[in-house]
Amino acid sequence: MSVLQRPAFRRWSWFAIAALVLVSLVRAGTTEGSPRTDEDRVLAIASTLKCPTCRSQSVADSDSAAARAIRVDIARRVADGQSADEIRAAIAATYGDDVQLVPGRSGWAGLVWVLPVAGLVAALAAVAAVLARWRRTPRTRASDEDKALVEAALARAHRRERPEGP
Amino acid sequence: MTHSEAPDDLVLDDGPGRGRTALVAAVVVGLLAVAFVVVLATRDPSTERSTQSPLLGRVAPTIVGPTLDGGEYALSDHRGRWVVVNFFATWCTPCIVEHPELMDFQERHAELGDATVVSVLFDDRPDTAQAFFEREGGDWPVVIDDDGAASVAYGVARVPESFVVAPDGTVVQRLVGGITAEQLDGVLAAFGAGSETADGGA
Amino acid sequence: MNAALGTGGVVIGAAGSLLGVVTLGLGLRRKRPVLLQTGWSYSLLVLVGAIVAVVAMERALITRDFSVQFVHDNGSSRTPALFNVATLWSALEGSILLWALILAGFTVHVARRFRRRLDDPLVGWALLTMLVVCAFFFLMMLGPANPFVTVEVPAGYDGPGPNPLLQDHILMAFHPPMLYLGYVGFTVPFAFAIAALVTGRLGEGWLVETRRATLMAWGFLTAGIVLGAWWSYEVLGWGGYWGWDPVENASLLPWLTGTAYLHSVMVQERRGMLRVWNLSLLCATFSLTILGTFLTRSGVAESVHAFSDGDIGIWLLGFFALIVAVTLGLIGWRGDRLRAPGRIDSPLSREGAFLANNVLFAGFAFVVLLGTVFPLVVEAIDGSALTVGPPYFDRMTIPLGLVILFLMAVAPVLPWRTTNLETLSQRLLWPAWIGAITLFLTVAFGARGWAPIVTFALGGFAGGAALRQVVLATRRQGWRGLVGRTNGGMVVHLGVVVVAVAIAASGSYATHSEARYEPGQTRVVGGHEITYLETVEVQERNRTATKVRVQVDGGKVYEPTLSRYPGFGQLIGTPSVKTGLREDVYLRITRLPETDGGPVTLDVIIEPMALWLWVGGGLMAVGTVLAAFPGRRRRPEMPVSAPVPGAVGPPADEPDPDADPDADLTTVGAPR
Repeated sequence: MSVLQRPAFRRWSWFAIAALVLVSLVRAGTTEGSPRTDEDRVLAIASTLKCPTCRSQSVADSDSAAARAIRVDIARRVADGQSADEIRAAIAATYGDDVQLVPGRSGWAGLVWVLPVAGLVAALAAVAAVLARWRRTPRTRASDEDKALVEAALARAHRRERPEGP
Repeated sequence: MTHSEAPDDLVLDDGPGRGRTALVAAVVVGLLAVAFVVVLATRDPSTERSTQSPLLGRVAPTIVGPTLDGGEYALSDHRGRWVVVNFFATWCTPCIVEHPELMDFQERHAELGDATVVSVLFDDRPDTAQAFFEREGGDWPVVIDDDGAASVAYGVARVPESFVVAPDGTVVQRLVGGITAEQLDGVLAAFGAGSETADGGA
Repeated sequence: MNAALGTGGVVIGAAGSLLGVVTLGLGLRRKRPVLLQTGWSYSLLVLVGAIVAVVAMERALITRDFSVQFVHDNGSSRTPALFNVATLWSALEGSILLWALILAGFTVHVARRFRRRLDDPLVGWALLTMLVVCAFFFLMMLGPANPFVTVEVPAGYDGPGPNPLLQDHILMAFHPPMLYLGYVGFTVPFAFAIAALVTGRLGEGWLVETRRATLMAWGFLTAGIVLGAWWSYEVLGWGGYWGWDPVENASLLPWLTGTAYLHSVMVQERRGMLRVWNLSLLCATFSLTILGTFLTRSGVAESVHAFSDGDIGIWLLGFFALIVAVTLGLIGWRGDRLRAPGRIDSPLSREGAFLANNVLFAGFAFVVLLGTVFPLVVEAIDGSALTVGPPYFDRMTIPLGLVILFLMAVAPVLPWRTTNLETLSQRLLWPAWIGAITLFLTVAFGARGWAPIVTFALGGFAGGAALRQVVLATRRQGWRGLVGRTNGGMVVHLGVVVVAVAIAASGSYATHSEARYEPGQTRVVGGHEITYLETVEVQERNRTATKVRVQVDGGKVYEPTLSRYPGFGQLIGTPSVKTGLREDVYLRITRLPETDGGPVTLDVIIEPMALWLWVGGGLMAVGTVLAAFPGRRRRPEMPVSAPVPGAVGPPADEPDPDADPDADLTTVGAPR
């Protein structure tokens, strides 16, 4: 694939790729998604609530009696025009707060959202700091002795693998 | 090491600096690990659900619907008397076990006229329930909760589960699992004297 | 008789491991090689004990010897033969027994492999560590997890059999042993890590020696996880394969740190860097297997899987605490000797990519661990009940996954030390084309949702990069271009890409359709014709099954089932799946007909590309096997410029920009 070695080809290629990506993303962004039916909304809300008899399956996934009954209830509320938050609150009102699969943002529960982000920021900062420190501290210089050692080792390695020699 | 002449001892000793960082890091992680282990060690593996319910002290949600014998039931019709709302299914063993207790309770209080029982069918077929009641007896309304609306309103996930509703229409007690007539009498006694505490100690 | 035999086996195992620990400890302390040589005998003794115990238990299961409590609680005359054997690992005590057997096997393997170097303290300490772990598990079987407790058997007693969910499918026979081979396999490199830390011999030798064991352990763990997902899909019947269930997470956590470790060791082998990372990742992997076992067995985290038993939880937690303490102590003590001779010259390099990889996987593991234990922590703090469910995990892990996918595309083409944009431009061009075209086609076919679209695009990019490597390698080395660490690794990457694409497709574009069907009625769901035929009740050996016969697309008849197993009150639902190349038609019963000839309520789920999940998993397994082959490659300590033996390409000292980056010559700074 020697065409890769021609800078001109590469440059135009990358332009074309960028153009293709841009066009695709724009198209994706502006395509109308199919309008959400009531059934979609019910399933969406149901997937954020835990089925009370299951360990962590959502009301949308479970086919236990309680889950089915709750789905019917959600459907009724959606038809009534209640919002997702209202519906979730209503179900949690009788089944308990632990039926919400998505932890709230406030109080201790909010930690579960904050900690990963904080951790990521800390990790990036640490890596950046370490890299910067390495860049600052001067590298050790190799002594002539060291260089000779390396040359000898390299020669050995190359000779060993190719007995016919250069 | 035989084949690998890998630099076993090519370690640059950076002096105390690096060693101290490692030590501090190890201590910090260690403390976190200790806290973590303590938390896990003190968790109760029991999966018992408490008898708490958000409904306690509030007006009992309505139960309206057709019954097994073809009539129509409404919970509000029974204001002025204690009502034991019992969610059950015929495939559930503790429900079968508690059935005679409910019969006992219902018969006694039917004479006194102060309390009554209503069963709500949970995920079961009406004809099976009908056969069950004909076989075992039990003379109280059984609501066919076809779409599960009543179970959702009361937050019932498993059966058997029972709620004791006071004559004024408020829920005073939630009982998870099979119950006995003695237990029910106890609840009536505890709350019947006009006690305000909704936090049941059962 | 079985109980006595089994207990005898466990005692032998426990005694063997304890004696081995003491003897090896003495030998290491007093520097007596003779004592160290006994490591081989003690390992064998432990294995013999384990085999005897397992044989005893299987015998008890097969002969339905209900006097053994484990068989009393879990066996049954109705269970079919294969599932009966698999009953061993269907409940707590038996699975500990299986773990002990596999552990003993690995210990003997280590002793045998290093039999000529048993007097080397490094090997001695490694064997000692393995025997300590053996001792723990065998002692647990003499304590809280005793499988051979006997019980009085009433006349005519027949056991309940294993949990019905575990009798449904052949996969149940393979999923736990695979998983345990993975978990236990990581004990080997862990033991050597401890040995390296204790002896202070922190060079790269032990890494190279344990590479194959680590790779196979990872492979088994991957296979176990994929099989578990398949079982969840085919058996549990909720239409999905991954629910971020605490037990699923418990198996994923060591996989994440293990994957990071597998990659990161390459940096240590080549440049002696990231030592602390590698040791930490490895020890974390092993600790997480124990923590995971604790979470699974103690019942602390509610789960579909959970076996629960209070006592065993404390033992496992204590062992976990011990491991963490020892590990932290050793790393803290040896911190000064872990300083690397080199440094990362540039973030745009293979080392930099692997460092980024470590951070991303560690972050991924952190998020999963946090979500899993957070409810417990919050409950400890203020008593409130909290659930962290799939929406949280999805939201947190999808971005991480996408970045990892991107890294997977770029990292294999990055040279060591540093590079320039020129090189990258050459190497990434074709993969970038594939990614861009994939993106265009995805959007052209009307896909919606940024997450799946980006996944497809990055999948094309990463797949293209992996494919490019494989093509180049096979061109240079013939069929040998498929084996060896790098090439096998590229096949594994291809598998990962397929899995990622399948997850995106089935996760974002699945459609549910729940409806009532009269007998003979046909509905069209997602382009498929679903016809309800009839419901039949079948009495099988171990259950009464009510099968709903459904014809899909006018062809084969599928039978989703609701079964009643005597001894288990609840009805167990089993789905039926029509697997297709493009999508699966997943059928499950919501409500049986109430009267004969009445309507049935069926839930039909269309899962796009579900098959490719399993294909991708299989590809990952194949790639792992390929990677374990001793490929014809430079030894890791050889310089990058040394030619790969057997290469048929141009001689090594000519710059060849399209060459396999492992033989890259544009490495800046390499002394010539």
